[in-house]
Amino acid sequence: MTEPIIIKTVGLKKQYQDVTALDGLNLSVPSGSIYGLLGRNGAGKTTAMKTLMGLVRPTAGTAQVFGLAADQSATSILIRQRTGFVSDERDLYESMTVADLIAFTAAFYPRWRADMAARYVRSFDLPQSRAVKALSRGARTKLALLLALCRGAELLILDEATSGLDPVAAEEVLQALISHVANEGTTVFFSSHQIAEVEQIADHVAIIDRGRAVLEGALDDLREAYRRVELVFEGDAPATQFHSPGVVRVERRGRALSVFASSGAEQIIEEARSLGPVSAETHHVTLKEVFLELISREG
Amino acid sequence: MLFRPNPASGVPIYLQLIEQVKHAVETGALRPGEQLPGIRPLSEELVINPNTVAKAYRELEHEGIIELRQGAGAFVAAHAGALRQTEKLRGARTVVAAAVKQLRARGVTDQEIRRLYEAALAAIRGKDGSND
Amino acid sequence: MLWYKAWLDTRWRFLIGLALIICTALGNALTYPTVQGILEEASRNGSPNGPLASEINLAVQLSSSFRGYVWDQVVHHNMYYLWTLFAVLLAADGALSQRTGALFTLSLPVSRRRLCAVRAAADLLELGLLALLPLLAVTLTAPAVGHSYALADALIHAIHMLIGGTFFYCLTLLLAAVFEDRWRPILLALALAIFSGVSTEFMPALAAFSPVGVMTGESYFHTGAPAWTGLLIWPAVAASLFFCAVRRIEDRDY
Repeated sequence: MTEPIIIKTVGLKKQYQDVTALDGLNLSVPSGSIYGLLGRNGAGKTTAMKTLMGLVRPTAGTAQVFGLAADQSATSILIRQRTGFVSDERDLYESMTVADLIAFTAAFYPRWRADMAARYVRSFDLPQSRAVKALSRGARTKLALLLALCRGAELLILDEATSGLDPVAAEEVLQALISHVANEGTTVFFSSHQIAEVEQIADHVAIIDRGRAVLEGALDDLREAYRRVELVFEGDAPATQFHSPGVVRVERRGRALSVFASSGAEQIIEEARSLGPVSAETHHVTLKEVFLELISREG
Repeated sequence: MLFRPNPASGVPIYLQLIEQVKHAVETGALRPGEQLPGIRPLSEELVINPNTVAKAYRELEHEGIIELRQGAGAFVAAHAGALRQTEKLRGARTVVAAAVKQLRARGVTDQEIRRLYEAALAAIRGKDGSND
Repeated sequence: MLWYKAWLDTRWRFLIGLALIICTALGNALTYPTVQGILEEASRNGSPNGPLASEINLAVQLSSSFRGYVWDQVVHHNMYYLWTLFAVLLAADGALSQRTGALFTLSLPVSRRRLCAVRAAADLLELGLLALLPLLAVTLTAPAVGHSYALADALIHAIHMLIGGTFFYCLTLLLAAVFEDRWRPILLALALAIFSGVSTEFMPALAAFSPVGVMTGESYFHTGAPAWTGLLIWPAVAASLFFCAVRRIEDRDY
């Protein structure tokens, strides 16, 4: 069963005067998925999201949302009618009150859900008559999220939705997202530094580094494919070259050999048997280990 | 709350859920015919992806552990306990086969293997005084 | 809603500008009798000489009538500079660069073209009021000092100021779209406005190259005939500057 692809970028490039923000980014976000974008600061996550929202024009390559071109003004408006966006700066109108901003935003979306907005105001505990500039960071983020969630959007693009939030507030945000996805079938495309939260809610991930995706796929597939093979030997570990294609990195330490593999762990074990190890074990790896391994390799 | 998957363990969450459901059936925490939490409420409660819960439930249905009734929800299958038992023994068989193979490879005779197993069981029985 | 937002963003500038221009206009108009007295005294002491003599004589001559006085002091001096100042201030953030919430606005399902158009329309409405209301105030209060200022004069001078002044508004908008900082567009536009205003006083021949003549309704004041060519050319120039500004805003990265 193949779901339609809701976001597709092919060879997306963005060159600023002296900075290459995107350098051939290829992403495919399936409809109905929760897609996590991981990467270091300045890796290109924000630029990618801004390109999809029509805030930034790509230098080369294509970006499509709902099959529509993101870099054409006319189609970009159609995309924005069906998409909710939260920028990493939580850029909102400082002098408007919470209630006014909600009413203002509602006017642009014929599918606005006033009942949902009222519910979120209550559950997020937002002070309706307070100006945006007087809101705490957590309240600001929740307000920005409310404005994105209540517009009847099919797609949510969230840039660092939980950054700067305390654990309780962050969990509230995740709960709201899950509830939304479960009940409305929305696709969520979000970026994060919190690998734990990506592991918790995402079913697809991409790791972006220096404007390119170094990894992309279903999270469960990655979990099943990536392994760490730990070998222990009688004497010093041999300095062998493993021929299996899935080997990412081999680390020798005294009598132990650690092989980080992106696939084919069994093959590696078979290959290792010929070296006569005392013990050979495979371990699951966390997304954090994959991330650190892939990112530091490029560096 | 019966289920507590660990997202950071590296094991896919849906596999953890499957295992936790099977374990619950085995220990009797879930009985045949009992209803499981719905996909949406469970995903909201655990704050995990609803697709993940759906995947786990589909797999459990495929294995015959649960039944998904249209409009009504997910229920533990009538023979779930028995199935789990069969699966348990099937798994156990594999473990024993592998151990036997390994021991034979070291040159241990069948007679000695049998004695090793019985000695091991006796030692455990002696330790906690229980019988299975 | 975009109109409402435009109002929220500009109301303080509008209200302050309105208060300022009305006060200075009324300040001029209502002190006319005093000024008249001073001028009469001065003329008894003989005509002035020296480099600025012709300018001073001209000013004195104009001020001999209330209409002339209002045109010279209120329209030509106070209003030209103050009105243009506020036109520039309003246009300076029309390019969405310095405003908070720019990313939010741009992520709404509205074209940048429409955002610019609504904001410009709202600004021009406000600028129209900034031109008209002070002159209306003069018309209404002139009887209090025993003079009168024709309603027709107020209306026609206001129209001239607005139409000619679209040049400075659109120029600032384009500068704001090109330069991404807040101050350069304002300073450059104001510098040009001041230079135009001052230079046409000393070298009237230059009036043809700046909108000052149109904005102050010079030909209407002297001859009763509006400056038709100017009223067509300067807004046309302004419109092309506006389109350039919108194109630039459409292509920009935010």
